[in-house]
Amino acid sequence: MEGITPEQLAQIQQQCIFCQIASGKVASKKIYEDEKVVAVLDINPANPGHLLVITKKHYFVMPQMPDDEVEHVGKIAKQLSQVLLKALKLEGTTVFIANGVAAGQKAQHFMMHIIPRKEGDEVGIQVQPKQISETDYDKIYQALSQGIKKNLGDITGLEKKSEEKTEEKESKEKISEEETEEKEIEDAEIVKEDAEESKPKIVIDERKKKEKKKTEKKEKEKKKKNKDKEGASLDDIAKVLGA
Amino acid sequence: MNCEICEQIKNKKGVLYQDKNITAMLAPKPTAAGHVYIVPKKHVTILEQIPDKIIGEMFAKANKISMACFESLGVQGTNLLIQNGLPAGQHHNHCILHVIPRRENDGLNLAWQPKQINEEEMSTAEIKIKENTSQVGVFEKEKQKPIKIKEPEEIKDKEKEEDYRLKERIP
Ligand SMILES: [Zn+2]
Ligand SMILES: [Zn+2]
Repeated sequence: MEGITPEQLAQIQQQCIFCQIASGKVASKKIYEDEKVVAVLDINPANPGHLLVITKKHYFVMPQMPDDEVEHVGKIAKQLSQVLLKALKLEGTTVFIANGVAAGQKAQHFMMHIIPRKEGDEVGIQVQPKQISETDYDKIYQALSQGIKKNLGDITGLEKKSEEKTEEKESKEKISEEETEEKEIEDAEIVKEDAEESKPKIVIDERKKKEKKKTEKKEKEKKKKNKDKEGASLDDIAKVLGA
Repeated sequence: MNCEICEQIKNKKGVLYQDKNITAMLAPKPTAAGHVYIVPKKHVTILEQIPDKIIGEMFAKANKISMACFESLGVQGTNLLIQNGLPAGQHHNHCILHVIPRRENDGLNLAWQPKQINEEEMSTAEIKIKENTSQVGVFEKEKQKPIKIKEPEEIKDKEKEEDYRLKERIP
Protein backbone atom coordinates (compact mmCIF):
# COMPACT_ATOMS: atom_id res chain seq x y z
CA MET A 1 0.00 0.00 0.00
CA GLU A 2 3.05 2.20 0.06
CA GLY A 3 2.99 5.10 -2.34
CA ILE A 4 -0.77 5.21 -2.60
CA THR A 5 -2.46 8.51 -1.87
CA PRO A 6 -5.74 8.66 0.07
CA GLU A 7 -7.48 9.70 -3.15
CA GLN A 8 -6.13 6.67 -4.97
CA LEU A 9 -7.21 4.41 -2.10
CA ALA A 10 -10.72 5.86 -2.22
CA GLN A 11 -10.82 5.14 -5.93
CA ILE A 12 -9.64 1.55 -5.43
CA GLN A 13 -12.28 1.02 -2.75
CA GLN A 14 -14.98 2.37 -5.03
CA GLN A 15 -14.00 -0.02 -7.79
CA CYS A 16 -13.41 -3.03 -5.52
CA ILE A 17 -16.45 -5.30 -5.38
CA PHE A 18 -15.30 -6.79 -2.06
CA CYS A 19 -15.03 -3.36 -0.43
CA GLN A 20 -18.60 -2.82 -1.63
CA ILE A 21 -19.70 -6.17 -0.15
CA ALA A 22 -17.91 -5.39 3.14
CA SER A 23 -19.64 -2.01 3.42
CA GLY A 24 -23.00 -3.47 2.42
CA LYS A 25 -23.30 -1.46 -0.79
CA VAL A 26 -23.43 -4.69 -2.76
CA ALA A 27 -25.86 -7.35 -1.54
CA SER A 28 -24.50 -10.64 -0.23
CA LYS A 29 -25.50 -13.54 1.99
CA LYS A 30 -23.87 -12.20 5.13
CA ILE A 31 -23.16 -14.70 7.89
CA TYR A 32 -21.13 -12.65 10.33
CA GLU A 33 -19.85 -9.12 10.80
CA ASP A 34 -17.72 -7.21 13.30
CA GLU A 35 -15.61 -4.05 13.20
CA LYS A 36 -12.78 -5.71 11.28
CA VAL A 37 -14.29 -8.36 8.98
CA VAL A 38 -17.41 -9.68 7.32
CA ALA A 39 -18.10 -13.32 6.44
CA VAL A 40 -20.34 -14.08 3.47
CA LEU A 41 -21.35 -17.15 1.49
CA ASP A 42 -19.18 -17.53 -1.62
CA ILE A 43 -21.32 -17.29 -4.75
CA ASN A 44 -18.99 -19.78 -6.50
CA PRO A 45 -18.71 -22.32 -3.73
CA ALA A 46 -16.54 -25.45 -3.68
CA ASN A 47 -19.24 -26.93 -1.41
CA PRO A 48 -22.50 -25.59 0.07
CA GLY A 49 -21.67 -23.33 3.02
CA HIS A 50 -18.33 -22.17 1.57
CA LEU A 51 -17.50 -18.93 3.42
CA LEU A 52 -15.43 -15.90 2.50
CA VAL A 53 -13.97 -13.80 5.27
CA ILE A 54 -13.26 -10.31 3.93
CA THR A 55 -11.49 -7.47 5.71
CA LYS A 56 -13.42 -4.22 5.95
CA LYS A 57 -10.30 -2.30 5.01
CA HIS A 58 -8.94 -2.76 1.54
CA TYR A 59 -5.79 -4.89 1.52
CA PHE A 60 -4.55 -6.56 -1.61
CA VAL A 61 -2.59 -9.27 0.22
CA MET A 62 -2.17 -10.44 3.80
CA PRO A 63 1.41 -9.09 4.26
CA GLN A 64 -0.11 -5.57 4.11
CA MET A 65 -2.30 -6.24 7.13
CA PRO A 66 -1.36 -5.15 10.67
CA ASP A 67 -0.80 -7.92 13.24
CA ASP A 68 -4.00 -7.31 15.18
CA GLU A 69 -6.13 -7.81 12.08
CA VAL A 70 -4.24 -10.94 11.09
CA GLU A 71 -4.69 -12.37 14.58
CA HIS A 72 -8.38 -11.53 14.43
CA VAL A 73 -8.72 -13.31 11.10
CA GLY A 74 -7.09 -16.40 12.64
CA LYS A 75 -9.48 -16.46 15.60
CA ILE A 76 -12.45 -15.97 13.30
CA ALA A 77 -11.21 -18.84 11.10
CA LYS A 78 -11.30 -21.16 14.09
CA GLN A 79 -14.73 -20.05 15.22
CA LEU A 80 -16.38 -20.10 11.80
CA SER A 81 -14.84 -23.49 11.07
CA GLN A 82 -16.42 -24.73 14.28
CA VAL A 83 -19.76 -23.20 13.27
CA LEU A 84 -19.62 -25.01 9.91
CA LEU A 85 -18.74 -28.34 11.51
CA LYS A 86 -21.73 -28.08 13.80
CA ALA A 87 -24.27 -26.48 11.46
CA LEU A 88 -23.59 -28.69 8.44
CA LYS A 89 -22.52 -31.82 10.34
CA LEU A 90 -19.16 -31.98 8.59
CA GLU A 91 -16.08 -34.09 9.11
CA GLY A 92 -13.69 -31.31 8.20
CA THR A 93 -12.97 -27.86 6.83
CA THR A 94 -10.32 -26.32 4.61
CA VAL A 95 -9.00 -22.87 5.50
CA PHE A 96 -7.30 -21.24 2.52
CA ILE A 97 -5.62 -17.91 1.80
CA ALA A 98 -3.87 -16.95 -1.44
CA ASN A 99 -1.35 -14.14 -1.62
CA GLY A 100 -0.58 -13.26 -5.21
CA VAL A 101 -1.77 -14.45 -8.61
CA ALA A 102 0.81 -17.25 -8.62
CA ALA A 103 -0.92 -18.60 -5.48
CA GLY A 104 -4.31 -18.59 -7.17
CA GLN A 105 -5.53 -15.19 -5.98
CA LYS A 106 -8.27 -13.93 -8.26
CA ALA A 107 -9.61 -10.82 -6.50
CA GLN A 108 -7.86 -7.54 -5.71
CA HIS A 109 -8.94 -7.75 -2.07
CA PHE A 110 -7.64 -10.01 0.72
CA MET A 111 -9.95 -12.87 1.63
CA MET A 112 -9.91 -16.14 3.51
CA HIS A 113 -11.88 -19.17 2.34
CA ILE A 114 -13.43 -21.62 4.79
CA ILE A 115 -14.66 -24.63 2.85
CA PRO A 116 -16.92 -27.31 4.35
CA ARG A 117 -15.46 -30.77 3.70
CA LYS A 118 -16.97 -34.22 3.54
CA GLU A 119 -15.52 -37.57 2.54
CA GLY A 120 -15.32 -37.91 -1.24
CA ASP A 121 -16.45 -34.35 -2.03
CA GLU A 122 -13.87 -34.02 -4.82
CA VAL A 123 -12.87 -30.48 -3.95
CA GLY A 124 -9.25 -30.96 -4.93
CA ILE A 125 -6.62 -28.92 -3.01
CA GLN A 126 -3.95 -31.56 -2.75
CA VAL A 127 -0.70 -31.05 -0.91
CA GLN A 128 1.50 -33.64 -2.59
CA PRO A 129 4.65 -34.30 -0.58
CA LYS A 130 7.88 -34.28 -2.54
CA GLN A 131 11.28 -35.62 -1.71
CA ILE A 132 13.95 -32.98 -1.31
CA SER A 133 17.72 -33.47 -1.21
CA GLU A 134 19.65 -32.63 1.97
CA THR A 135 21.56 -29.89 0.18
CA ASP A 136 18.42 -28.21 -1.13
CA TYR A 137 16.85 -28.53 2.31
CA ASP A 138 19.87 -26.88 3.93
CA LYS A 139 19.99 -24.12 1.32
CA ILE A 140 16.31 -23.27 1.83
CA TYR A 141 16.74 -23.47 5.59
CA GLN A 142 19.61 -20.97 5.53
CA ALA A 143 17.81 -18.54 3.22
CA LEU A 144 14.52 -18.69 5.10
CA SER A 145 16.19 -18.42 8.51
CA GLN A 146 17.68 -15.09 7.46
CA GLY A 147 14.33 -13.77 6.28
CA ILE A 148 12.53 -14.96 9.39
CA LYS A 149 15.15 -13.42 11.67
CA LYS A 150 14.54 -10.13 9.92
CA ASN A 151 10.74 -10.39 10.23
CA LEU A 152 10.38 -12.10 13.59
CA GLY A 153 13.63 -11.49 15.41
CA ASP A 154 16.09 -14.13 16.57
CA ILE A 155 14.10 -16.02 19.15
CA THR A 156 14.73 -19.61 18.15
CA GLY A 157 15.02 -21.82 21.19
CA LEU A 158 14.86 -19.10 23.79
CA GLU A 159 11.87 -20.54 25.64
CA LYS A 160 12.25 -21.04 29.36
CA LYS A 161 12.93 -24.63 30.37
CA SER A 162 11.34 -24.25 33.81
CA GLU A 163 7.96 -23.38 32.33
CA GLU A 164 7.83 -26.56 30.30
CA LYS A 165 8.63 -28.66 33.31
CA THR A 166 5.76 -27.25 35.36
CA GLU A 167 3.31 -27.93 32.57
CA GLU A 168 4.47 -31.54 32.28
CA LYS A 169 4.16 -32.03 36.01
CA GLU A 170 0.65 -30.63 36.01
CA SER A 171 -0.59 -32.98 33.34
CA LYS A 172 0.98 -35.96 35.09
CA GLU A 173 -0.79 -35.08 38.30
CA LYS A 174 -4.09 -34.86 36.48
CA ILE A 175 -3.69 -38.35 35.04
CA SER A 176 -2.90 -39.94 38.39
CA GLU A 177 -5.94 -38.27 39.90
CA GLU A 178 -8.20 -39.79 37.28
CA GLU A 179 -6.68 -43.22 37.80
CA THR A 180 -7.31 -43.24 41.54
CA GLU A 181 -10.90 -42.27 40.97
CA GLU A 182 -11.45 -45.18 38.61
CA LYS A 183 -9.89 -47.63 41.03
CA GLU A 184 -12.07 -46.47 43.87
CA ILE A 185 -15.21 -47.12 41.83
CA GLU A 186 -14.00 -50.61 40.93
CA ASP A 187 -13.24 -51.49 44.52
CA ALA A 188 -16.66 -50.37 45.61
CA GLU A 189 -18.31 -52.66 43.10
CA ILE A 190 -16.32 -55.71 44.08
CA VAL A 191 -17.42 -55.24 47.67
CA LYS A 192 -21.01 -55.05 46.57
CA GLU A 193 -20.73 -58.25 44.57
CA ASP A 194 -19.20 -60.13 47.49
CA ALA A 195 -22.10 -59.10 49.65
CA GLU A 196 -24.62 -60.43 47.16
CA GLU A 197 -23.12 -63.98 47.38
CA SER A 198 -24.26 -64.95 43.90
CA LYS A 199 -23.03 -68.03 42.05
CA PRO A 200 -19.49 -67.50 40.77
CA LYS A 201 -20.36 -67.82 37.06
CA ILE A 202 -23.13 -65.30 37.28
CA VAL A 203 -20.90 -62.97 39.18
CA ILE A 204 -18.45 -63.00 36.32
CA ASP A 205 -21.20 -62.42 33.76
CA GLU A 206 -22.70 -59.69 35.87
CA ARG A 207 -19.33 -58.10 36.26
CA LYS A 208 -18.67 -58.20 32.56
CA LYS A 209 -22.02 -56.60 31.91
CA LYS A 210 -21.38 -53.98 34.53
CA GLU A 211 -17.97 -53.27 33.11
CA LYS A 212 -19.42 -52.93 29.64
CA LYS A 213 -22.10 -50.63 30.90
CA LYS A 214 -19.53 -48.64 32.76
CA THR A 215 -17.34 -48.09 29.72
CA GLU A 216 -20.38 -47.28 27.62
CA LYS A 217 -21.53 -44.78 30.17
CA LYS A 218 -18.10 -43.27 30.42
CA GLU A 219 -17.86 -42.86 26.67
CA LYS A 220 -21.28 -41.32 26.52
CA GLU A 221 -20.36 -38.88 29.24
CA LYS A 222 -17.14 -38.07 27.50
CA LYS A 223 -18.98 -37.45 24.25
CA LYS A 224 -21.59 -35.35 25.97
CA LYS A 225 -18.97 -33.30 27.71
CA ASN A 226 -17.27 -32.68 24.41
CA LYS A 227 -20.50 -31.82 22.68
CA ASP A 228 -21.44 -29.36 25.38
CA LYS A 229 -18.07 -27.75 25.19
CA GLU A 230 -17.20 -27.90 21.52
CA GLY A 231 -20.52 -28.24 19.77
CA ALA A 232 -19.51 -30.53 16.89
CA SER A 233 -18.08 -34.00 17.35
CA LEU A 234 -14.48 -32.80 17.39
CA ASP A 235 -13.55 -35.90 19.27
CA ASP A 236 -14.63 -38.08 16.39
CA ILE A 237 -12.83 -35.89 13.89
CA ALA A 238 -9.69 -36.09 15.96
CA LYS A 239 -10.08 -39.83 16.56
CA VAL A 240 -9.97 -40.79 12.89
CA LEU A 241 -6.61 -39.06 12.73
CA GLY A 242 -5.32 -41.22 15.50
CA ALA A 243 -5.17 -38.50 18.12
CA MET B 1 1.99 -40.66 21.91
CA ASN B 2 3.24 -41.13 18.39
CA CYS B 3 3.42 -37.74 16.69
CA GLU B 4 6.01 -36.81 14.09
CA ILE B 5 5.41 -33.12 14.67
CA CYS B 6 5.92 -33.32 18.44
CA GLU B 7 9.03 -35.38 17.70
CA GLN B 8 10.36 -32.67 15.37
CA ILE B 9 9.60 -29.94 17.90
CA LYS B 10 11.68 -31.90 20.39
CA ASN B 11 14.67 -32.68 18.18
CA LYS B 12 14.53 -29.21 16.58
CA LYS B 13 15.20 -30.52 13.06
CA GLY B 14 14.35 -27.80 10.56
CA VAL B 15 12.96 -25.51 13.26
CA LEU B 16 12.97 -21.95 11.95
CA TYR B 17 11.25 -20.17 14.79
CA GLN B 18 9.78 -20.89 18.17
CA ASP B 19 8.34 -19.09 21.13
CA LYS B 20 6.28 -20.05 24.16
CA ASN B 21 3.28 -21.40 22.21
CA ILE B 22 4.33 -21.86 18.60
CA THR B 23 6.94 -23.61 16.48
CA ALA B 24 7.64 -23.05 12.79
CA MET B 25 9.58 -25.73 10.92
CA LEU B 26 10.51 -26.67 7.40
CA ALA B 27 8.20 -29.41 6.17
CA PRO B 28 10.18 -32.67 6.01
CA LYS B 29 8.42 -33.59 2.76
CA PRO B 30 7.61 -30.21 1.24
CA THR B 31 5.13 -29.75 -1.57
CA ALA B 32 7.27 -26.79 -2.67
CA ALA B 33 10.73 -25.53 -1.70
CA GLY B 34 10.32 -23.48 1.47
CA HIS B 35 7.08 -25.14 2.61
CA VAL B 36 6.76 -24.29 6.33
CA TYR B 37 4.62 -25.84 9.07
CA ILE B 38 3.38 -23.50 11.80
CA VAL B 39 2.15 -25.58 14.72
CA PRO B 40 1.03 -25.16 18.32
CA LYS B 41 3.79 -26.48 20.59
CA LYS B 42 1.25 -28.35 22.65
CA HIS B 43 -0.11 -31.41 20.84
CA VAL B 44 -3.48 -30.44 19.37
CA THR B 45 -5.19 -32.39 16.59
CA ILE B 46 -8.05 -30.23 15.38
CA LEU B 47 -8.12 -26.50 14.63
CA GLU B 48 -11.06 -25.93 16.99
CA GLN B 49 -9.05 -27.31 19.92
CA ILE B 50 -6.41 -24.58 19.65
CA PRO B 51 -6.94 -21.75 22.17
CA ASP B 52 -8.10 -18.48 20.53
CA LYS B 53 -5.01 -16.58 21.57
CA ILE B 54 -2.68 -19.19 20.08
CA ILE B 55 -4.48 -19.54 16.75
CA GLY B 56 -4.31 -15.74 16.46
CA GLU B 57 -0.56 -15.83 17.11
CA MET B 58 -0.13 -18.68 14.62
CA PHE B 59 -1.71 -16.58 11.88
CA ALA B 60 0.42 -13.55 12.75
CA LYS B 61 3.62 -15.63 12.62
CA ALA B 62 2.51 -17.35 9.42
CA ASN B 63 2.06 -13.94 7.86
CA LYS B 64 5.57 -12.90 8.87
CA ILE B 65 6.98 -16.15 7.49
CA SER B 66 5.00 -15.60 4.32
CA MET B 67 6.74 -12.20 4.02
CA ALA B 68 10.08 -13.92 4.57
CA CYS B 69 9.25 -16.28 1.69
CA PHE B 70 8.63 -13.32 -0.62
CA GLU B 71 11.82 -11.57 0.49
CA SER B 72 14.29 -14.41 0.95
CA LEU B 73 13.11 -16.97 -1.59
CA GLY B 74 11.93 -14.48 -4.18
CA VAL B 75 8.65 -16.33 -4.75
CA GLN B 76 5.64 -14.76 -6.50
CA GLY B 77 2.99 -15.93 -4.07
CA THR B 78 2.18 -17.81 -0.87
CA ASN B 79 -0.72 -19.91 0.34
CA LEU B 80 -1.80 -20.28 3.94
CA LEU B 81 -3.67 -23.53 4.39
CA ILE B 82 -5.24 -25.59 7.16
CA GLN B 83 -6.44 -29.06 6.25
CA ASN B 84 -8.78 -29.60 9.15
CA GLY B 85 -9.92 -33.22 9.44
CA LEU B 86 -9.43 -36.31 7.30
CA PRO B 87 -11.76 -35.32 4.41
CA ALA B 88 -9.80 -32.07 4.14
CA GLY B 89 -6.59 -34.05 3.60
CA GLN B 90 -5.10 -33.73 7.08
CA HIS B 91 -2.22 -36.21 7.31
CA HIS B 92 -0.78 -35.60 10.75
CA ASN B 93 -2.65 -35.87 14.03
CA HIS B 94 -1.12 -32.50 14.97
CA CYS B 95 -2.86 -29.42 13.56
CA ILE B 96 -0.71 -27.60 10.99
CA LEU B 97 -0.99 -24.15 9.44
CA HIS B 98 0.88 -24.52 6.14
CA VAL B 99 2.75 -21.70 4.47
CA ILE B 100 3.39 -22.78 0.88
CA PRO B 101 5.58 -20.60 -1.34
CA ARG B 102 4.24 -20.32 -4.89
CA ARG B 103 6.03 -19.82 -8.16
CA GLU B 104 4.43 -19.22 -11.50
CA ASN B 105 3.50 -22.50 -13.24
CA ASP B 106 4.72 -24.57 -10.29
CA GLY B 107 2.14 -27.23 -11.11
CA LEU B 108 0.67 -27.38 -7.60
CA ASN B 109 -3.00 -28.31 -7.33
CA LEU B 110 -4.31 -26.10 -4.55
CA ALA B 111 -7.38 -24.81 -6.39
CA TRP B 112 -10.93 -26.10 -6.63
CA GLN B 113 -13.70 -26.12 -9.20
CA PRO B 114 -16.87 -24.30 -8.14
CA LYS B 115 -19.89 -26.56 -7.80
CA GLN B 116 -23.33 -25.82 -9.24
CA ILE B 117 -25.46 -25.37 -6.16
CA ASN B 118 -29.10 -24.37 -6.47
CA GLU B 119 -30.64 -21.43 -4.66
CA GLU B 120 -32.52 -23.66 -2.25
CA GLU B 121 -29.38 -25.47 -1.13
CA MET B 122 -27.59 -22.15 -0.65
CA SER B 123 -30.44 -20.81 1.47
CA THR B 124 -30.58 -23.96 3.59
CA ALA B 125 -26.86 -23.70 4.27
CA GLU B 126 -27.23 -20.00 5.07
CA ILE B 127 -30.03 -20.59 7.58
CA LYS B 128 -28.26 -23.49 9.28
CA ILE B 129 -25.01 -21.53 9.59
CA LYS B 130 -26.72 -18.39 10.89
CA GLU B 131 -28.42 -20.42 13.62
CA ASN B 132 -24.96 -21.19 15.02
CA THR B 133 -23.09 -17.90 14.84
CA SER B 134 -24.19 -16.32 18.13
CA GLN B 135 -20.80 -16.98 19.76
CA VAL B 136 -18.60 -15.92 16.85
CA GLY B 137 -16.45 -12.96 17.82
CA VAL B 138 -16.69 -13.83 21.52
CA PHE B 139 -13.17 -14.93 22.35
CA GLU B 140 -11.77 -16.94 25.23
CA LYS B 141 -10.64 -14.66 28.03
CA GLU B 142 -6.92 -14.41 28.53
CA LYS B 143 -5.33 -14.30 31.94
CA GLN B 144 -5.61 -10.76 33.24
CA LYS B 145 -2.48 -8.73 33.02
CA PRO B 146 -1.28 -7.20 36.28
CA ILE B 147 -2.69 -3.70 36.61
CA LYS B 148 -0.04 -1.07 36.27
CA ILE B 149 -0.08 1.09 39.34
CA LYS B 150 0.49 4.70 38.49
CA GLU B 151 3.56 6.26 39.94
CA PRO B 152 2.73 9.07 42.38
CA GLU B 153 4.74 11.36 40.13
CA GLU B 154 2.41 10.70 37.19
CA ILE B 155 -0.67 11.40 39.23
CA LYS B 156 0.80 14.62 40.49
CA ASP B 157 1.62 15.70 36.99
CA LYS B 158 -1.89 14.95 35.84
CA GLU B 159 -3.37 16.85 38.74
CA LYS B 160 -1.17 19.78 37.93
CA GLU B 161 -2.37 19.62 34.36
CA GLU B 162 -5.98 19.59 35.46
CA ASP B 163 -5.41 22.46 37.84
CA TYR B 164 -3.82 24.36 35.07
CA ARG B 165 -6.75 23.79 32.75
CA LEU B 166 -9.16 24.67 35.51
CA LYS B 167 -7.39 27.95 36.06
CA GLU B 168 -7.63 28.72 32.38
CA ARG B 169 -11.33 28.19 32.37
CA ILE B 170 -11.97 30.30 35.41
CA PRO B 171 -11.90 33.96 34.50
ZN1 LIG C 1 -11.36 -3.86 -1.57
ZN1 LIG D 1 1.91 -33.66 18.22
